Amino acid sequence: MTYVRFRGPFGSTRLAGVGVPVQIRTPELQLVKTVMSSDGVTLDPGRYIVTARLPAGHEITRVLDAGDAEQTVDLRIDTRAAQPLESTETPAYISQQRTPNPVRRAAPRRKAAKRSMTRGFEDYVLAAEPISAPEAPQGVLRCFTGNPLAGPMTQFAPPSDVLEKGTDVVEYRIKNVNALCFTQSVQPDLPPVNISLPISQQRGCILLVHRQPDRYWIEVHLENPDANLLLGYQQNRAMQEEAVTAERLLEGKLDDPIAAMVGAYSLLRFGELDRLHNWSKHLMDWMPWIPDGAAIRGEHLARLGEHQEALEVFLAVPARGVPMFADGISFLLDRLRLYTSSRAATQFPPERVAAAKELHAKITEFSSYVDFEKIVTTFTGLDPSKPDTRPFHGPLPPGTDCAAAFL
Amino acid sequence: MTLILDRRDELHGAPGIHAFICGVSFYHHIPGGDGAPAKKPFGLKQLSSTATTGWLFHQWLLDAQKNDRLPLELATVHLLLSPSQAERDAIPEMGAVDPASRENFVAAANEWRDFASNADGMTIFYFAGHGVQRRQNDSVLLLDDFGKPPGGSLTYTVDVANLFDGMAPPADAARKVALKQLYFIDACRMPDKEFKKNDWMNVPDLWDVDLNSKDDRSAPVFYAAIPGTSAFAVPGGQTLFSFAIKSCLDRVAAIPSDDADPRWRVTTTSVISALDGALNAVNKNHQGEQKCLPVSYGKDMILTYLTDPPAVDCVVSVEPDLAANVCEFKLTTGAGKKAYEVAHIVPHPHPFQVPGGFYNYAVVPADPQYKPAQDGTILRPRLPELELKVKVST
Repeated sequence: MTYVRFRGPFGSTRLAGVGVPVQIRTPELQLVKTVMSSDGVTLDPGRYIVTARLPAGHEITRVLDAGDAEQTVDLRIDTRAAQPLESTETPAYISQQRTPNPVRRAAPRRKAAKRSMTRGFEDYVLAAEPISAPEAPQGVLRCFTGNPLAGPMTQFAPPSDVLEKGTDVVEYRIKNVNALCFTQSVQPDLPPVNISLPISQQRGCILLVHRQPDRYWIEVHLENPDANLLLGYQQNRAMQEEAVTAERLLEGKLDDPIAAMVGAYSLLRFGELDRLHNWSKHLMDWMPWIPDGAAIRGEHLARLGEHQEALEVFLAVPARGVPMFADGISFLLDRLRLYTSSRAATQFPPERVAAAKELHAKITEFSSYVDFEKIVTTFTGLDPSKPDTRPFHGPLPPGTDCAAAFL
Repeated sequence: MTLILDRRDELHGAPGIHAFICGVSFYHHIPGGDGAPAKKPFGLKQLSSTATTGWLFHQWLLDAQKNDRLPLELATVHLLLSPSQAERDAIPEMGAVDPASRENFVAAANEWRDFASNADGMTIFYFAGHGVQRRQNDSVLLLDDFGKPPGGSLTYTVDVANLFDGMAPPADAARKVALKQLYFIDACRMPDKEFKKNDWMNVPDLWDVDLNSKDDRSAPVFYAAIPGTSAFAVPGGQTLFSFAIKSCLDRVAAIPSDDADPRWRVTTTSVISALDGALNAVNKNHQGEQKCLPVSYGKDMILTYLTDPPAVDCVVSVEPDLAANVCEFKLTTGAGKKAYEVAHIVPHPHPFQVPGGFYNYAVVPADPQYKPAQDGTILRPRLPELELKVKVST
């Protein structure tokens, strides 16, 4: 038997200890084991193929000839001597790759496309916007706290101290606090974008501002690197890796409620109802101000067939606010729709159905402005408590100047 | 004819796959139709490829059954098609299939659910046609009598949520439903201004939905369009989404075995991971701009097996580029059998295709200023192709 350790795949200080799922196969591709790279593994002597996939899609393959002596498999992508920067590694290997921009400008459409395609199912008009030389983008970041479902929000000082800076990316740290917070990116001629900040008393989060030729786009990363990796797998739809990472994350003793929520959403997605056990209740009670605890608990109960209790839990959401993760909003929308439908509604007390209808209407209206392609709740509107899709025009409001951050 | 395949007797109660496929191109009550015009046609037009898409998906299923690729025996197939005249002319067999009217859909759906009463069984639902979205997370499927007067605008439609909720394990524990379910919603999710004016516009229930008992289904829903966007199709051909799904099921989403059956397979999670890439490739070929949204629900499940390892398109390149002319490239299987060989890596990068699997490769430079390189790697489908970059600089 040989004991095998893994080195990497990440090299920066923040990500160095983060484990990714590793598959170990025979040369005939029979699966031998799936382990985390942060763990070791004991193998019989022989030849093995070791593979790991990072959230952004990089696939690492190594051939291992296991003998009797202890061995280390180097999974690092970047094997240069210098330690890579967080601000380089995170966008390259973890950030979402599918849809970077929360709101896109209407792109000019190709006439060839018009000729050869039918837009399934509805006619449309070619956008007339010409391709023009990019100008230096302008934009500010603002921050809000409060419950968007309950009325006006309070603005608080936006981040000003740059944590790390790369060529086209700047990182800010949002400090840990027990409150529902949002960051807002305001850019000329685009609808302002609001992004939930997944923070708690235990952990803050990292705000990445990416500079593109004509605009900025904002990404939120969790400070907990393991949970952030899981979020990366979720966002990039790398589901096999997500399943393994979620299971592993929740095996550990978690002192970070946000990481726990991210893991619980994965468990629900994979139908691991028994593994959630009483844990969803614990999550809900642990941090009574986090809306996601109630959304997760409600969905868990609903899937178990405990609908009376589920409705009560869902009705607790508006007092907490909008879930930090879009899955929580989806759960609310789908379950409240079902519970207020004519047949199902007869199984609940009328006053609870009335409350559910009111909440359903409120969440439905709010969700019209939510980008469901994003894992972290993202919606548009200059006033976060009154979301809309209107582009911003006029002088930029006070806030953290994105352009200045890159100087 | 709606139930076009019924092998229940043959299976003697063993769990099987129950498929329900519906494709609508011809709409009676929108412009170009043969019925009284819809009061609110939502600006929709006749389609030319969605019935064909349904037909082709049904053919894919039959072929998969014939080639022993399905995880369970194919037990029943319900098929409803409303083809355009051009589609009927191209595929006359479609004329023998019952049209995709609301009445036929309700009858077929209820029978489909009744048939799928073995918890170990599996259901597959595929709809291709017009769709709308009244609000976020909503999806309404328009049947061929959509807009038929009198009645509400959405009387002849189906709410996907009602379909999905009705397939949940019933509250009555004595009643069972297949716990493996697969949904393909190949339709637009465009909101219409009419929905703002008329609140939701009700869709009649397909069936009574009782609140579920423990819902431990594996039931992913593959939406062809993200909320608020359109799906696309090649006129007279098939939908872009169906191209992408077929490419995933046949090759692109194939992964090696992780159980005693050595065959490569396609699973829910492998499709979810590969679908964006597959759709991007289809978009590129057809100059489309579609984005899809797979929604996972429950545990991973095997959707299909491959009879042989999938063909993998690869390109090999060396660094520096200049070395390509003086480098030999050799690829051998894990068992040491020659798989591919080329004396010079030209054109550079050099394309080749091999079956998926583990390979050892070697790059041997004839010029001593470069260093030889060798390693092993798993070659499996990647889009647009799997890139093998080898560094030979000293």
